[in-house]
Amino acid sequence: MTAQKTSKFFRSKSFALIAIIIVMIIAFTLGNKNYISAGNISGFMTNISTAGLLAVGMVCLLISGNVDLAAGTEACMAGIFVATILGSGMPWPVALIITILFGAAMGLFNAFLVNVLGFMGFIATIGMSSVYKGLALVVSNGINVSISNQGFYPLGAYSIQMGKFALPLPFIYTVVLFVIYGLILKYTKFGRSIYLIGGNRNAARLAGVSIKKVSTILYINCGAIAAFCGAVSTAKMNSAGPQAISGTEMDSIAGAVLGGVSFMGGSGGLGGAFIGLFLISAFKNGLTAISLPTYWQTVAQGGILLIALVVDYFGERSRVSALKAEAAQAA
Amino acid sequence: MKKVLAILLAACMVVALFACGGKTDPTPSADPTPTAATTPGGEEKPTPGPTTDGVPLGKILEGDHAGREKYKIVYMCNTLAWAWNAAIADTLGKLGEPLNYEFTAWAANNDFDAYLNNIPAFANQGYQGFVLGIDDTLAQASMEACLEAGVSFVAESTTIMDKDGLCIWSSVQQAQVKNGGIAVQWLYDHWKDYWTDATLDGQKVGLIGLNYSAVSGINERKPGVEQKFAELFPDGKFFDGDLAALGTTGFSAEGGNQLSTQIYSQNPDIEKWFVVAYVDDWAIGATRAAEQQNITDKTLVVSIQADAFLAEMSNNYTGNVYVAACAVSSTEFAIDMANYLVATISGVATPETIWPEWNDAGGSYPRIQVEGTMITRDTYKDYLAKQAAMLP
Repeated sequence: MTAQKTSKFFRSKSFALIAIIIVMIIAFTLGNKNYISAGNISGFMTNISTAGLLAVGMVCLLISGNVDLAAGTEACMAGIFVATILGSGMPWPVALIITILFGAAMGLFNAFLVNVLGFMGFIATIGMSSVYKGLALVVSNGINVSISNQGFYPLGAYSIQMGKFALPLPFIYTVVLFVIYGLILKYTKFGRSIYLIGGNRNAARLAGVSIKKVSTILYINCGAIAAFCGAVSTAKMNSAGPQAISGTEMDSIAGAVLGGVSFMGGSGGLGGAFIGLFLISAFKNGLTAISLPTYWQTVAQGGILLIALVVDYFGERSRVSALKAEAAQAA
Repeated sequence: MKKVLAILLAACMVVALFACGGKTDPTPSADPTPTAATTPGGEEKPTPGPTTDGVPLGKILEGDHAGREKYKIVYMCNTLAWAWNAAIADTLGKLGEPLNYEFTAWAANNDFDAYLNNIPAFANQGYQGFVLGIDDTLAQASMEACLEAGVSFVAESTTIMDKDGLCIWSSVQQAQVKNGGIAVQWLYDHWKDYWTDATLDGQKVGLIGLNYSAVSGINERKPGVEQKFAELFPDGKFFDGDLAALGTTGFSAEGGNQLSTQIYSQNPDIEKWFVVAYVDDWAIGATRAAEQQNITDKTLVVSIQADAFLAEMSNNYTGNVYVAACAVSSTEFAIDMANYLVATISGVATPETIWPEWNDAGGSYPRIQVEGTMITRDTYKDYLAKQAAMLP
């Protein structure tokens, strides 16, 4: 049994990605020994948190066959929102809760467009992305909204010091949410229904799963997490900008898909998504460490995605071959 | 029912999008002196007064504006999410009253086809004056569209050049190279005010230039910073923190934070950090990164453009990391451009006759270069007061 599990792991997508990550870390460390310094790891953890937080809600949606391309602008809008209400003197814990509810409302509106009006999630959320971006500009007048409530700053900026290493709070939020949602996806009835509606909507309907209900919950969840992400980012900067975070959702989606989450729904998980996201972020960090010229960095970022996809393609082919061989043997 | 709701939602989106293109609130800016003190080549020029056409720089054009028809002026830029563009739009809007024009701001949001298509569209709606706040790539095409539409126009922060590099239309821009140098010079002159006990080991001094090389108007600040740093700290290490590597997300405080965090942590051998953010928002990111990396005692951040600095100051920022900004007056910018448009629409001046002292050698069109002034916690209030005095 253990041998079987080990063999399965070696043939999994995650293994291929982890192998790439290890090779990459060795290569970048040879280029700059500080790549694996405590300071850089800590900085890397801070940087991965924004896309990581967005990825949690996004992965759940992707697995269900939906998508929220407005997640980044929802986070941005939430950042402006929390900065604005903090400016009115509201205590930050109250402001944070209201902001998360505000994010949930944005998610609910997305769900309304998709589930009630029947728009495609892809199109509806692109449209809403533009609306939120515009509203962020209207509210902020196009300039950064600074925060004077100093109690809010540690929410995004605090680190737990462990010798030379500092563990940033936003990274802890990210890991905790990944674990909680990973468990929900894997071990709860609701989690299984997400896979079911993503994999086969008709089968889900016939099995008594309310597709609209699950989808609505996931959009609300995605909006709420995006709002939390926006609030954390705003705390980290001690100000909210009308351009902040917008576009980061694409990193989240890329990481998720790279980590095995199907864009069509029904497969993948948060573990794989985290590895995918880790690969992308560690690679970007490494390119700066070796001082690769900017435009080559952009080329290289696309290149690493292609390499990972090619490795995955051949891995998938070998998995399918192995399954066919097993089926033939069984027959 | 679904159709009705769909139409209503679509209408809401359109309204929201139009609202985004509207006016913005007051944004701090400028030194009232109509400075613009250098030519493109860096040659000193006398402070310009009224020109032969009587069109001033840095102060509102006088005349009986109320006695004529109301002009229609549009500011077309790529995005209104940049503090600088928002400030320009805001001031141009405010100048509409004394100069008697109706004002609209419009942002392309990277849709360059829409940018070009909207020039004749605005002209057809009766807009007579255009402020073109666009990158070099679209400059010539925009100029041709404006000439074809028969409207008055001026380029904002961009030089419209022909293939031989000759300036072929009027523009108002920042003295990009010089302002970069001013910021570094200030750091050289003032680091001792903040690190009172320190002696600088030239080899262990690093300067991060936070740039976004894909936008030429910003990238032009880099040589000023890099050259001045090499001159003042010949052994120092220059780090080109190009946010273009982060894609569109790079153009934000968050982007500045991410890249600064990486550079600080990947170079622990640097004992003293200087950061020059070529756009002020990124200075916020670099400052927060220094705070989060516990290197506030060895990092000084300054920015070119000052809106974010002013926001930090008005928010009682007490730290000693983000210590100064090279304030370039968006008010002065907007006044010059508004004067230009009103003068050329009304026939008081032509693009060829207005401000000839600012023409390139052998050229026929002015290229106004607005120089920045360093402001600090101690001086920013005076700066704001001067700026407020520029507007009615």
